[in-house]
This record gives sequence, C-alpha cells and structure tokens, in this order.
Amino acid sequence: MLILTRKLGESVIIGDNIKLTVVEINRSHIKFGIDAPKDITIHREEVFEKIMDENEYSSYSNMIDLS
Amino acid sequence: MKIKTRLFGEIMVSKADIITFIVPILGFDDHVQYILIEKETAFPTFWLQSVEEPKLAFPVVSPFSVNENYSIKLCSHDCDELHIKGIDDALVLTLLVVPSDILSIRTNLRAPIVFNPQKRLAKQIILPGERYSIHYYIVDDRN
Repeated sequence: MLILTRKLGESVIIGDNIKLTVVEINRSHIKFGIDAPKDITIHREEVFEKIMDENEYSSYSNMIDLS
Repeated sequence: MKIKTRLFGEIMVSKADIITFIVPILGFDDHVQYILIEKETAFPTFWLQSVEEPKLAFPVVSPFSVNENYSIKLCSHDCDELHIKGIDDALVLTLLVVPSDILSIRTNLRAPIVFNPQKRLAKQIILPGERYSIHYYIVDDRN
C-alpha cells in the first residue's frame, strides 16, 4: 500500500481526474473532499461490505413451495 | 441449453433469456449470467438464477411493491451502460433475504438491480445517501 503524508488542505491526485483533499483533521477522524467524474462511484467501505453480506444472505434463501 | 438448478431442478434456458450483468452482483464476481424465473406456486415468486452456477439463485422483488414511496434516480452513466433511454427500458428489482424465521424477511432497498429487459443487461447499483435501508423488513415494523 502506498502511504503518503498530507497536511490539512493538501491533496493527492489519483489517475487523471480524481482529487482527494484533506479538509478536516480531528483526533480520531479525518474528513476528505473528493473531486471525481460522475461515473466514478464512491462509497464508504462498510456500506460495500454490508451489501456484500446481504447479497450472500440472499443467496442462502430457500423457496417455499405453495403448490 | 439445459441447466440443473438447486431450487428448480433441470430447466431449459434459451440464449435470448440470459441477462448479462455488466458489473457482477457485489461479492459474486465470477457470475454474470442469470435468468429471471417466475415460479407462481412458490414464495418468493421471482428468482435470479445463475446460468453458470446451478446452486446460485437470488429471490427478488419489486421494491415499489414493498415500499410505495420508493423511487430512484439513475445517473446518466448507468443509463448509458444499460442502454436505458426512458422509463420503459428499466426494470428495478431488489434482492430478498428469506431466513428460516420468515417474519424476518427483508430486502435491500439501498442496492437495487437495474435491468434493461430489451437489451438483457443489468447492474446492481448503490444508491447514494442513507434514505433506503440495506435491511428493509417487509413483514414486521422494525424498520
């Protein structure tokens, strides 16, 4: 994993058109601002994980035969 | 072609019925071809059955039937990818979870499957914000 040090207000550029800026630093959290093209989806990782889990639970579902 | 399935036995699949996921269902990267099965004598009635993996099937429901206020806005990128030009080109489904405790049946309103029935293309999208629950309980009122 690439690790970079940034100060408040500084950015990193990812690829040609994604810019990640540190906009707030607190003791236990950091706020980023993200500039990216609209077709790039951005989600918190835990949302992804929850959806992945829920998709998996869905695949365990059983069918109830009503006939 | 014939495929053997876990839930529906041996079924015939015609190529024209196959739905291709342009982005796999999250967590199921190896499976992109499905068919939509309607089983009138069963609950749930609608299933996305993998063509590639006979054991894999997801029960699905129309989110509009479980939440009358449900609405989604598709971004132009998703519309382009799925060749959706108008509302008639899109079908929206959400995955159901049917646990052994049937009262806990729920659906994921946050990550619907958007499907173009004419082009047979689909994609699971993640809606921005927290307006819709990943665990939307259908039967009871714990939402």
